[in-house]
Amino acid sequence: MQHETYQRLGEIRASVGMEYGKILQKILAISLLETKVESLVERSVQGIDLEMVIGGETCAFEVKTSEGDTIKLSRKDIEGLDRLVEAGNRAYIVVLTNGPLDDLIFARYHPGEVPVGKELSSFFFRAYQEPALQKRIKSTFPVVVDKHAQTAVEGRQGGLDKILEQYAEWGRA
Amino acid sequence: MRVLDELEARIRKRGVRVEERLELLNQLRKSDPSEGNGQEQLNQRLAEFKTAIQSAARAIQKEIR
Amino acid sequence: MSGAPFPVRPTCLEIENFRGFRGACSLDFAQDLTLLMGECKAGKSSILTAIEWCLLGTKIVSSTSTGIAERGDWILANTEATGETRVTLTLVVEGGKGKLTRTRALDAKRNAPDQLELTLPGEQLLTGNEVEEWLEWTGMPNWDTWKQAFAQHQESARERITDQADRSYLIASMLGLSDYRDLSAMLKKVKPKELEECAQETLQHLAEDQQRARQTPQQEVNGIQASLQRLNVSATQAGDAELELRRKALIAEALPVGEAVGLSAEQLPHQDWSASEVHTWGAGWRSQVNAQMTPLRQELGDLEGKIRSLTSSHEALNPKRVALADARQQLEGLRSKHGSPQDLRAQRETIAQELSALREQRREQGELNNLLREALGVLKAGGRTDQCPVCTQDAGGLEQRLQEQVASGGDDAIQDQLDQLASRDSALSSQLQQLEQAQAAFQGTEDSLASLEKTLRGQLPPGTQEEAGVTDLLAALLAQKVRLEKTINLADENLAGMTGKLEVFGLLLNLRAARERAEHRAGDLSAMPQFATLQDKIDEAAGFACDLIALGNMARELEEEQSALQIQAVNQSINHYMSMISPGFEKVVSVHQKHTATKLIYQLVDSEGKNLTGTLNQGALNSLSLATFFAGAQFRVRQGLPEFLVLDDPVQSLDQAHQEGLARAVKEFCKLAPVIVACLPSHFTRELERLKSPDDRHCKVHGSDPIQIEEI
Repeated sequence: MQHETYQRLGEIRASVGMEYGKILQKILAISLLETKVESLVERSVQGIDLEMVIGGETCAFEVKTSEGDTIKLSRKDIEGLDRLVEAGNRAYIVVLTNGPLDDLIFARYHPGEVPVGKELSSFFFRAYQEPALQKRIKSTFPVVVDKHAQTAVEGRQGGLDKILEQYAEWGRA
Repeated sequence: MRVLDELEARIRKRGVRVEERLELLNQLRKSDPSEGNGQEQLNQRLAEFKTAIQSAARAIQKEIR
Repeated sequence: MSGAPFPVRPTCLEIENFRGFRGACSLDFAQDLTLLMGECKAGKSSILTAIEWCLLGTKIVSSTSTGIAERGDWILANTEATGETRVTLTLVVEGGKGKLTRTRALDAKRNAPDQLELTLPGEQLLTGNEVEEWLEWTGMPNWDTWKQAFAQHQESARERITDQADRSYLIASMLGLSDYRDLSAMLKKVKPKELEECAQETLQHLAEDQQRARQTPQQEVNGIQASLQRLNVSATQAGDAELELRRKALIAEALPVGEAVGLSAEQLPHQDWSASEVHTWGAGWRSQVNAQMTPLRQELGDLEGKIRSLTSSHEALNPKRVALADARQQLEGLRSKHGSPQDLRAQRETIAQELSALREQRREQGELNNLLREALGVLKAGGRTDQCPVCTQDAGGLEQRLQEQVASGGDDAIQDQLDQLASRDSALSSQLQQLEQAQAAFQGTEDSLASLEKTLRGQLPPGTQEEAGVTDLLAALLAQKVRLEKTINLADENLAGMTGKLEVFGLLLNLRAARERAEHRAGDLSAMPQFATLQDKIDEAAGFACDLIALGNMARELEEEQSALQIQAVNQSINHYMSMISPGFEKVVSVHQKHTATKLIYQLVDSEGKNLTGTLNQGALNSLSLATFFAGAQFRVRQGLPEFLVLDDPVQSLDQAHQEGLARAVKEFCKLAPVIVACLPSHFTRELERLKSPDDRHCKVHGSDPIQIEEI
């Protein structure tokens, strides 16, 4: 991750506190919308935060952020992701830990590979990275962070929702 | 060994990183686990990865220090 | 030889000088049951131990290896033996019979290796490690397997079910999970966590390095600004404008000095020089100026000397002239008074001659007086004072005349003359001295004046008048001195201030460079190609770690599934033997597998899931241990592995009913694989005798010396 982007995210986190996870989710959503997806929907069920359609294929994202260097998936998260995969969807865990050199990781979820309730570092998820998705968001994410950092700090989720609503492909379930 | 055959079937069934895991399995097949050779080979590979990471890091440090 | 398992089993045992056996002894084993009966210390257990030693070596006498404390004190060789200890086991192997012989020298030290030899069908001979490899390859037991599935030891009858590790190992073997356990154990010993830690540590250090690379230039700027502040140049002032101002000032101050001290054009700073060039020039400025100043200072010194010399010469002239006139006057006065020195010397010469004559005269007079005194003395001595003592003529009044002559010697007159002459000479000498001194003073003054005049003339230009020349020259010299002093002062002032000015100038220059460096901070690591390479390496390592973890998890899953499948069969087998050995046992024994964080462990539980090993009495525990023992051996037989049982006094804590049950169990197992039992005569042995079949062999072991084995 670029240093400036890391610093911006740090500033956002310092300002918004507990809301950081949700706010990052929305920034991520904006970044994905900028890559010209067919549709992107925000969900609020266990195991899925965002659902995206691209090339006719549905991809579900569970976004996990951390102030430290590990994240954890609960049994409900895992069960939610398992259901998605069973239904024929591609499921991803989007991991952002707080190390200065940590990058956003889009890790493909496979049933049986992720232990329940265990603290997992970004290192664990690297093996499951999907290079195509990583590349897709690499160019838009830093720009979106830079552009909307102020909105994130001042307008919080509501402010970012207004930006999301400007995209025709955006929806909320 | 039967256990390695069953492991291969399981790897294929799960369908995750199949090629890489089968290669690891083949390495285990070539040595007898009960003799500890496989463990030595795995530890050697592990050491090689560590060396590669540290070497790549030194190249960066040389640049920024 | 095929790669498939072969049920290797013993057929004959030859013992020589082993424990209770002094000398040689042999025993043939039955195909089914070999029963060795005898009283205590007969040597029954030694026979079974001999089999162990032959197969497994001296580890059987280590308390650590065996887990049996009392074995640590065992001595293998017979204490009265005079030769080596040897045990030979004849085995049925694939293709025929083999002979396994282990030998130990009489005086071998405890840690000394045994000699091991194996003769296989076709006269193939293996020795040492080759034998060990063959034993392993054929599936012959190591100590753990021996203890679990081959031998029932008196000392540890129940451990196979009471010790968690032994129990799990045995049950895992029964479940056919050894390979699974071995694979899991091996994968566990490789630590993928080390890769994660290595990656995290590496990234952490790089982040710190990047942080430092960003902070260092700014710290440098802060440091220089602080130094300038101490020199009264504020941070706001310390910019390019100030640098330019000082650059120009340094040049402007230096140029007149350089020209004044005579530096060449190449040595002088140029107006169009950059700040860096001026700084470099400034470093050498002091030494250049000082080099020019040295001759200038020298010149000034010389000049001052000249001025002093001229002034003092000129000022000393008139007094000297006055002194000369005085000296002349004094000399002339003395000359006129006393005459010339030559005259005075002549007079003194004359006086000296007169003095000499007078002194001669006085000497003569003195001699005459002495004669007269002598004559007077003779006269008085002769008694005739009026007679000449020489010619004896009468001389009246001779004595008186002689006395008068002596008294009137004439010395006084001469002396007076001498005194007068001496006095006159002394006066002449004094006058002469005065004249000579006055002459010398005059001459000295005259010479001194001449010298001064010469010196002065030398300082003046030729042909110049003295007074005017001195004045003009002095003026010129003084003017030159003023010019030199001005140049030197100018240079000194410049140098005095230059050090401080150059220091500030240098700091301003460094500050500019440091600010530039701080502005162009260390670039983002994420933009470096080397960082992309590092990320690739970490990704590869993460993949390897992930695969290791996944394989370990899968191996464990497989072990669980395999164990779930086989448990039913194992339960059946254990319960079968338990019901035989302990017919009244009401509980149903089940194997229960329990997950820990890293492995599966096994317990024996009842139908309610309660742990049996914690609740049974000694007899029931022994029975259950034996039942598990038989069940485990049965599984090995099914896999075609070598199997034969060795039971040493298995009837501990068993009542008659259980002993009968055990006998039945032994007889049933005999159908699968050979059994060798050593026991005191008991209900158990009687039951075995009752159940004896043609393929059994019952022997009595006599504890005589030497031990005898008699078939009964």
